[in-house]
Amino acid sequence: MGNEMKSAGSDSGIRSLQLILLGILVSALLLAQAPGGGQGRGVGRGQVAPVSPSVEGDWVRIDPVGAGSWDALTKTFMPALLTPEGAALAQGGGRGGRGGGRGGPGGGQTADTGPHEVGVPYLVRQNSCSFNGGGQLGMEYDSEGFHMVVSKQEALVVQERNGSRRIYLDRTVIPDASVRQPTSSGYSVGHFEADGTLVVETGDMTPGAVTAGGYRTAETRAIQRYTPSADGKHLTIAFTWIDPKIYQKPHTYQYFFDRTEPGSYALETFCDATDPLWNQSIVPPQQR
Amino acid sequence: MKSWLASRAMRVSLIGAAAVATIAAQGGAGRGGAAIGATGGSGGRGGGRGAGMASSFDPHDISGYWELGPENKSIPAANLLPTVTKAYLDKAALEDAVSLRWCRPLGLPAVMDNGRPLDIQQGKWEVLIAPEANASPRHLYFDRPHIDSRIFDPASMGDSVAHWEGDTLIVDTLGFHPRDGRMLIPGGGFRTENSHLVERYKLLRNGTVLSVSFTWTDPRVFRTPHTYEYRYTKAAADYEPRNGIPCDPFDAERTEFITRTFTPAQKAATEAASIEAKAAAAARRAAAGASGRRVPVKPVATAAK
Repeated sequence: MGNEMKSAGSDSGIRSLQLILLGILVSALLLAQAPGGGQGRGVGRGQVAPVSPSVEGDWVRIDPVGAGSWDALTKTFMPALLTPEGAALAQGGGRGGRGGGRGGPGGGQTADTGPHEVGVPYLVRQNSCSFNGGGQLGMEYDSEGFHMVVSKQEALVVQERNGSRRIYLDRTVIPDASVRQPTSSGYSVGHFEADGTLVVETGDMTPGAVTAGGYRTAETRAIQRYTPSADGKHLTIAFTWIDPKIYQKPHTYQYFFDRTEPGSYALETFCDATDPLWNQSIVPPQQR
Repeated sequence: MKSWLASRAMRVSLIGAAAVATIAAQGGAGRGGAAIGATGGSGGRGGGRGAGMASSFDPHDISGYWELGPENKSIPAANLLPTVTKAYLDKAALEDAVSLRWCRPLGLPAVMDNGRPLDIQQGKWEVLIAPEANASPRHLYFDRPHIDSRIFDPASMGDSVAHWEGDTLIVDTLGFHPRDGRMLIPGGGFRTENSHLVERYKLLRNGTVLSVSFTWTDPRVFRTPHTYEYRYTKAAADYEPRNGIPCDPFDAERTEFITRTFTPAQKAATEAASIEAKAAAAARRAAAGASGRRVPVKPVATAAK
């Protein structure tokens, strides 16, 4: 009896332990399969893994105030408050443009604008589709939107033409301009916050204009906060440009994006210098 | 006593289970087999580089910067259909010569051997390949069917979908553009809009080498599926991708250099491809009777980017 009791108690204990172990193992397996849990296809880097909703995916920029154009939308931003030095730089011209580089269709100065004789072909643009090295998307994605993939090492951003931008997740230091050639995308390091926001710090950018009257140099720092909405369908990028030589106070504004519909796919921009459409070769028609 | 035993047993089991959980979270227990101790001398005297990082590589994550050396390609001759005559092959070579001359983007398969490292990053929903070359990025979408061919815009990279079979990432690509991109396929033959490419990505040597086998089928080109393999070496973890090498189709000096070895037919084709030549031809057509028109006839809105 005593033995039976002992045996029953022992069996019960073993069963309890087995159940506990089973529960923990199931939890472990679920953990391993969760995003960022390290199951190969998962994202993230363990403790800093982005949670759902994610910044990953395909995003198109939107005009949330109905400004009607990107330029009109920019006019709704608070203009940069510049120092005298910053104002002089900004007035001197934005060598890099708004993020510069791009890497897209490339080149292409405007051809003569007419008038043109009937039947005599002319080109709206000339010499487009030069490949300029392609590499840099710049900092401020244009209306083409962007695609982001987050791996353990980096957030890789591309658009639908050549060119890309990397936000290193496994690096924390922005190299000094003296050891690296500045680029229009600069050098970006990032980390995730608990709510899935990707915080990106960028430096070592080529000099150039910044949206809403700003300017940047290799010494300027840009902070971008990529924050997905709770339902994962929207994304806000909050820009903050910091440079005491250029700005009286940090220059901030926001871009808004929508996630593309499920089943969407990235189009391909195939810039072909032999394609008259790229240059809008036109033969003026007979006038009535 | 019993209570102590039970709680002690529970503590031990908790520790054990926690260890299992940690291992599972770090590498998918079992799947990440190689783990510690299996690093061996993969780096050899060169050490460091990519190899050193791979002490516990995940066989289901091909992210990294991958370089292809000229000695790391295995390319047999393709078994072509008898209908693929020299004239067909010459025509494809001619198209590629025109593409080369005019700095057209590479497309598949050329992008996978473009002379610079490939930045391959694997996310939740896709693997993205960003080349340091004149080429669009590649999107390898996970766990979804091909886009309906009735709505897919054919592309030089096609439409790629991916899934894992064991430790191999299978990438299936359809939807190639009939003209965009380089057409010639290593080993012989060429790409058409009916081509079907299956790639198999697999990490070797403790994650320091990425094997990619390419298998092309095309009912108009290959008698049997044509398979070749590249083995990419992982670049240093601190590698920073660079811009590609510029290519200006309107640089006369480059044009002279690049066409120096072209055949007369290739030279004629590259000249006829210029927009000026096309516009002049259109003007001749217009002068021959038709009223003026845009060249070619296509809505402007679709062209404006």
